[in-house]
Amino acid sequence: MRERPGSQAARQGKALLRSRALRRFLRNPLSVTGLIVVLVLVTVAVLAPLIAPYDPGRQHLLDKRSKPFGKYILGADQFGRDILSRLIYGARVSLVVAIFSVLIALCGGIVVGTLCGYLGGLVDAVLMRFMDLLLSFPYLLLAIVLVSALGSGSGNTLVAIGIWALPTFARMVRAAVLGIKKQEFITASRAIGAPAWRIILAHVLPNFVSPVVVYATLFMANAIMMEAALSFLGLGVQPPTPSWGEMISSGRNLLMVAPHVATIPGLAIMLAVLGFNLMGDGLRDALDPKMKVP
Amino acid sequence: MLVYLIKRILASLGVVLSMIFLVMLILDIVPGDPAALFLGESATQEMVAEIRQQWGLDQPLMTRYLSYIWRVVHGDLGRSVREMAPISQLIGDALPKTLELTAAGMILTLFLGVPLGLFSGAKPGSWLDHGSRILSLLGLCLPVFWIGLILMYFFSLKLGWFPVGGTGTWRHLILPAVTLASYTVATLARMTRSSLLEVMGEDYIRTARAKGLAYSVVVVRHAFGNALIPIVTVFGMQVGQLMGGAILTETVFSWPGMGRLMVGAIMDRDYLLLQGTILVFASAYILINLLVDLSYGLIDPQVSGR
Repeated sequence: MRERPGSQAARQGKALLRSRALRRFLRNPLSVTGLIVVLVLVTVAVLAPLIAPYDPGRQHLLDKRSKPFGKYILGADQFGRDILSRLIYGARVSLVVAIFSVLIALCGGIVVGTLCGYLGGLVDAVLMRFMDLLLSFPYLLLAIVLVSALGSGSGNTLVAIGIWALPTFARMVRAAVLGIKKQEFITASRAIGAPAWRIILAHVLPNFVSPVVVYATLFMANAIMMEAALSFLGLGVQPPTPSWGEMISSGRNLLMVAPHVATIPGLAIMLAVLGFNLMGDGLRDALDPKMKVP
Repeated sequence: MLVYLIKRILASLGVVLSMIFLVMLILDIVPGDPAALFLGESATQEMVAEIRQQWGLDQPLMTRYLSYIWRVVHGDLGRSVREMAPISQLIGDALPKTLELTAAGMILTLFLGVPLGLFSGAKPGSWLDHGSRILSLLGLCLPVFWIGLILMYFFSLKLGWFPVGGTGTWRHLILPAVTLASYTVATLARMTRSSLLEVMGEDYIRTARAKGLAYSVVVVRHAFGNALIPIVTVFGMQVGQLMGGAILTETVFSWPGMGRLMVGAIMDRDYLLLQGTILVFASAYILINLLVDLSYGLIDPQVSGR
């Protein structure tokens, strides 16, 4: 075992920082609220088959458009499907699409960003020009183009959202790598002959973990919103798969007679988006010591 | 300044051309023949071949791209197979509607977002500050299309103050514009607040206060001007948000604009119409960003010297 001098101290320092960050995170009521909302959402999505009172696709034709607080806690839609159960299964769809699209964006962004930042030169110029091009599409448009080319459905939707998000992650990682590259410990490890991949894995990657984690958390909110928007337009997740955006879209026509069908899913979207936003903001305040916590 | 202007215009042109190429490339590399998809399963070989030829799909991508650009320069975007009309005419009808909506959204964003942020940043911790922060948080977390439906439910269906959908009078415009602006007002208010708070910590603000100027004068005359640059940047970015939001808002309020044209083109698999709407959307966005960039020169004298 080769133990580098100072590495133990560094590890202790990191653990200390992490625990201090954790304490700062937990002391902020808003971030704790966000964390709780996210945890509840994840639990609901994981346990969906156990806690949903009805089958989300089962049509109870006698109970079409029944009002909330009756037989069904949140009422039923135009086919007599239980809205609460559809919301619970919809949480699953929302979270799966959001998590995988963020993973695609994260992995792609880290690869592109590290390559560009570390290698520089032509690779950097070409790849970053391409990323800039992707970023110059107005909001929603790139995702719409991708979905219309790939076709709808939850799998294609998450790929489209992932690609849409990738350039932002790439840019952030690249900026972080550029900042780290110039520091002395990188020069030192290059001087002792460490190969580039090792320097990247051991020294560069760990240094941009916290901004990337914060951004990924905040981005979960964006991905949920984007999925809802695409599904609302009829381009994303397709019925009969329950998706919050699709639920709003199909409840639109009954706004006059049964407003609860279209309005309740919107509150679910708001809660999810709010939860991830609060948690992300809290993480940012807790991890970045330069930022003053009010 | 003139050199800078020309450089920026050329760069924007380059971006638009690359965007069109990228869109054609994406639609090209994905498996499935757009012509066959458009016609459905009952189509004969000849019908598919005819549509392929009409859309230029029988040519290689590069040739198709160049001839498309050539025709676009001459004002010909092709014919929509579904609507049986020239695409330039369809876009010509829809674009003013979307511009009207987006312009109304921009005006609301500026005249609601900036004052909200200003009031809340000038007196942090006051009830006005809390109120405006809660409002902006709601605006950020609620989907635009959902806000549209809620407004429609209360103000059109219940109270009957505004029509449910369509265009024509200013009454048709109010609800869609408010819907569209909800997200951008929230973002701009937050940005204005934080930008103002940052500036209020500067030494020259303390000096201005110390020499006895009233608080409101300091905020408006000294702080706001300096807080303006990040506000304009964010406003420029919000334009893209507004255009995306317009697609959603138009769907909610049956507003016959570009967004509905585009979504319809995707649903009907009308290849050339989709390409045309994307072209116009993207160019409009790039153009507005160019204008925002140039407006820096008006706000900040340091920029125009570059």
